[in-house]
Amino acid sequence: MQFLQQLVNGITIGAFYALVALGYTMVYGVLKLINFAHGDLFMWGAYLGLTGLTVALAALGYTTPWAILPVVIFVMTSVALMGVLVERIAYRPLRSAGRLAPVISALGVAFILESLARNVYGASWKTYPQGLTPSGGLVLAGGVRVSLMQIIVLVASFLLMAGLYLFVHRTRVGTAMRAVSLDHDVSRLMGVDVDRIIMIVFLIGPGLGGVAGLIVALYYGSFDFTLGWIFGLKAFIAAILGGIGNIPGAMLGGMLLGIIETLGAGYMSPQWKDVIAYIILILILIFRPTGLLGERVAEKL
Amino acid sequence: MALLELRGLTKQFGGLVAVDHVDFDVNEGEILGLIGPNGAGKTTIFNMITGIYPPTEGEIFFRGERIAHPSLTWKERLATPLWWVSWLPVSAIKKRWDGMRTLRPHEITERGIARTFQTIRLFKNLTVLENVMAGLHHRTRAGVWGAIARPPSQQQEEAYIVAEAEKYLAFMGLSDYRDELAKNLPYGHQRRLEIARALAAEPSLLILDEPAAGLNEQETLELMDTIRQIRDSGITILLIEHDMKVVMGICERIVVLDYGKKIAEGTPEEVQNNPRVIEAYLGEEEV
Amino acid sequence: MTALRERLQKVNPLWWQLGLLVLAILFPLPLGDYHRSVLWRTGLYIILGLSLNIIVGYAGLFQLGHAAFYALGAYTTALLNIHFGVPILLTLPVAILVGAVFGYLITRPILHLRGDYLCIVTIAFGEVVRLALVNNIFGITGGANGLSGIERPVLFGLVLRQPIYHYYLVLFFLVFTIFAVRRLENSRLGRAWMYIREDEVAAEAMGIDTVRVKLLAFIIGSGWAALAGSLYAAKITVVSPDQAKFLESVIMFCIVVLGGTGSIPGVFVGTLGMVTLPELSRALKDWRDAWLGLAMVTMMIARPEGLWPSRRIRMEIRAAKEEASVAPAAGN
Repeated sequence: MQFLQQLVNGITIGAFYALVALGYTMVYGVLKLINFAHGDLFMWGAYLGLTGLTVALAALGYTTPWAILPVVIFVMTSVALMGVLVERIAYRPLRSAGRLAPVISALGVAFILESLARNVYGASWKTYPQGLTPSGGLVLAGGVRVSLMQIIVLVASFLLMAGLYLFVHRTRVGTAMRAVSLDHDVSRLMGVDVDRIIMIVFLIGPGLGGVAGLIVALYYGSFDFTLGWIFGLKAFIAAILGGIGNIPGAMLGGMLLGIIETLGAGYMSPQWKDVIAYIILILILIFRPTGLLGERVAEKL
Repeated sequence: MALLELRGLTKQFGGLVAVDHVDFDVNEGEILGLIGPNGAGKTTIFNMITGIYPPTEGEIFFRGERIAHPSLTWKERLATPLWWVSWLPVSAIKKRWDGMRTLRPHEITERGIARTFQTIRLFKNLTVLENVMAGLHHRTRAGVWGAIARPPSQQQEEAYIVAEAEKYLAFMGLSDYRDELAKNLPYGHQRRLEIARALAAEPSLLILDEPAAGLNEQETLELMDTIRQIRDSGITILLIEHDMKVVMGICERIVVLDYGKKIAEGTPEEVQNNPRVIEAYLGEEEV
Repeated sequence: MTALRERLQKVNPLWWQLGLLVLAILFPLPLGDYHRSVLWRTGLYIILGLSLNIIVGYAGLFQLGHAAFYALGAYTTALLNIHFGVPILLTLPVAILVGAVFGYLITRPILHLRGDYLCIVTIAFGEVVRLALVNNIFGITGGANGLSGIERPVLFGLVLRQPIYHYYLVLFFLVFTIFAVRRLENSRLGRAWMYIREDEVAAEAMGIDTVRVKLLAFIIGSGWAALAGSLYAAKITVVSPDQAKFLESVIMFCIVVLGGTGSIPGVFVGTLGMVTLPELSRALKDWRDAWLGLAMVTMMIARPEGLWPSRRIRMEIRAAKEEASVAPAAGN
């Protein structure tokens, strides 16, 4: 029974990883850049959500779960704008500077965002207002408990991911995005506005990431400024595990990582949970750097 | 026994068969030309000889030693007892394992094969002399200790490296450019520098990938002269070239490839009159 | 002005070096213990920067988990001293050895990775080491609090207690490091690193065993970082998993990259900016992460070759940039 319970919890955490992993994978797809700042944008979603909820609840004068809706929109737009700003300032000037300079720049942005959060909000743990999340739940056959919050989280994540998948595969912009991820110059010749596509990617990725930050903070109830780095790294591992640059891969990788981690924590030791994730990353990169769903790239000289 | 023997050499890239069961020998002391239309698989063969990638099928022998063959798959490795102990520092095991694994490019260079590249691959930001010194790396030994303590043996070795490199620069007529950066040399000189660098590795087989590409009339003539001189100094030469004047002028034997297959082999005259060769080349021009 | 410069350039470089050494010896004398400690820390990070510079600057490999070896060295000294009573200074060679062996074991399987993937794997390895220390692996690392109660080093009967002694100890190793690193750079091995940095395929085709040569860079660099860890343990007498923090690795990486990859004076400049300044200024200490980040972003955009680059690397970076702007700015 414990196994099934762990599985349910693992899938929930996996859904978070998947949501954040999407941001990494989309940016890697179009820019071949590991956007280290993504984890911290995600964390800013949690912080901005806190501010938004505090303001909303103060304005209303009472606590209601409906206050979350406008806050979701506020978080999504502001984090998306932050994402676009980061791309403009820190990545665009480096587009032709090889692959490493942008990675260093991305790390730099991550540090700035983290330091900013710590100095603005303080280093202490932040707690979300009580009474916003539904408390009920289901008890499945065999005593496996699924909380209402878990169901909401899963449904919301799947809707977001399915929407993104359809957007990338069914719309003109999505097609252009896939073209850009293959080759910037050819796309440009075909009439795709590459800069605009990259901007859209930096709207969607961080936008989703910001909402994920809000959901994670609601789910756990509290967090601190290290959330971005730890969660971001995990989500990145999920993206690599599934095959970076590949959207279904990010979902699969997130779920797998969430499940492995939870099972590992449950059956081995919670202390070594993070180590398990890192070792998965190392093994994947050594033996199958293209990830589970990534295509094998022909070796070119 | 020929110096270099290719046996059933095949390379597939995905679905594309770039080289298809090619057999030929390179004899000691000859200049052998490898020709064929674009995409015939010439450079792929060179890359397999020099260990940049392993063949999909077939083998290459150099002085009778097998230097290239398909690499073992993970399954085969796991099923090979020798693989499990190959990391042990026992020379008998190492030796047997060396016969089974695929050799890496530097090991092939150590055995006496050096090459130039079709697209010049000099160390652009290093000086001409430093470029040639690279060829001497595998012939010298100084390590970390030698670098830091600089014992007399290391100092002698450094002097030897410089002297040798200068010798090859002089041979290729580049002594005046000794301290220039490689990227600042005129194109023709860069080609010569690549040959000097390869010669510094003291190969017994020199592989030249389109050495005359981009050279003018005068430079081409000089190059042909140089190649003959290199051969006369005892180095066997295998070259790819598109310039038929060069090929017909200096090669003693020619192997012709088309679509990855060997379609002819023989002296320049034989090859020139071979109907399949004419078809391959004319066929290309019609397109 | 130019005349002065020309005259200065004619001075034998040995005089410069001697002058700097004398300055380094005299400089801390009028200072208080706090500032002497800051100087000590500066020297320590220069050693760390130089050790990482072998990996990042000379061999061109990206290592973002260097702090792990720093911590390993510190723990080696702590464990040997606390459990076996080995005098601190005798633990130094063991620490170097431990760092080198771990450097080999960790990097051997990941050597074929390049660029950003290598970055990620080294981050992961660094974190694994840190978490192993936090989780009290084998029950010997003391968990999150680390180990304390390390003895003071004793040199010819003199107990090294005051910061000034530790400063001189670090200075001694720093001078040796600079000496060794400069000789390494201008040697057969140093040239091999240069060839690999320039064109790995051509280097291999010229007979350079790229795996061996890259491994050597990692082994030397890791061993030397472990030495710095021991020197840290010798002064602070407490070691903790925080030494292996990712932030530490990033600081070391920034010292190398922002100062000027591959350049020895660059490491000095980088350490001043990344370690000494934040140490001296309270405001900068609170905002140190942001300062680090800002420096990384602006330097990458404005001056990717670093503040005091080596002539050669500047050329390489400029050449790469020109190539990238001539060849279409492809995203892949």
